[in-house]
Amino acid sequence: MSGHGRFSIFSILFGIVYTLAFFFNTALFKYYPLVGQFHIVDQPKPAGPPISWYGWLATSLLISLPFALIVPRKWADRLSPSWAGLIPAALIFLVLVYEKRWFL
Amino acid sequence: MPVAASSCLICAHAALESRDMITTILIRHGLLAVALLGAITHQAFSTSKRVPAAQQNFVDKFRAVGAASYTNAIVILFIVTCIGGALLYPTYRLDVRPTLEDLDLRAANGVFEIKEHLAAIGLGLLPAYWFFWRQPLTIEGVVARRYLTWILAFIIWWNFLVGHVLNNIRGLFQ
Repeated sequence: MSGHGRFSIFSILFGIVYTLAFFFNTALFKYYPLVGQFHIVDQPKPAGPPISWYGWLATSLLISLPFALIVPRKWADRLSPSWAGLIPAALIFLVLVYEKRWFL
Repeated sequence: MPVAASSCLICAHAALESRDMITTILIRHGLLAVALLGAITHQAFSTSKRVPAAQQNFVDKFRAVGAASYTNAIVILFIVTCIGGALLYPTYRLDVRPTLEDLDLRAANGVFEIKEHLAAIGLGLLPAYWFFWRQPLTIEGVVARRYLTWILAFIIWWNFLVGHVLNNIRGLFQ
């Protein structure tokens, strides 16, 4: 099946990078809603609680998009289409396992 | 009117407007989620085995839809619904989450954490999902199409249910 590779690679890589980013709490930036500001470095307590989610998404996009565009199409298309579904399913399973800490 | 009272009134009005705006976004977010839920459920059921028209019951008819035609709508609805969620997130972080922590509802915080992660993974899945549902549908893409559609269906159902439970949590856990 030709042409699917770059789309599959983007989807797989986006999920992997996002999972790693939140696991290691590495966001490109954080948003502090109390003061309404974006910051690259952590802010002191008066700035209020941060939101890392936007930063995790941006990190994932900035890594997965260029990679999916750079990888040669022939190489990308060697990837089996099934991986585009299997790897995200595995990532969701990992997320559920990791987040079970909230229910213990 | 004294200056302090006037500025207080302006602040109160701004807060009220902001609350109205949040309520509007929340209702639209919920309505879009309902549309998304319907579309993805139809499409997900359509990827399972079909039965002859004469033997069709309600479920068979539910899944006997032109599934590919839902794809663009699902992609757009997913993105717009996520944007709505992203706009609501600061209010959740400042108003709802501290309340949940005060009430010691750790599980409620947990299901929301999962919701945000699933939404992100779902956003990443959209390009591959869109590609495998592109016309004409290929036989090589059947497995990927089925996996991706059911994963998205799981994500959308989870996020829909969690969103509604959290929205009504004060009434549910008095």
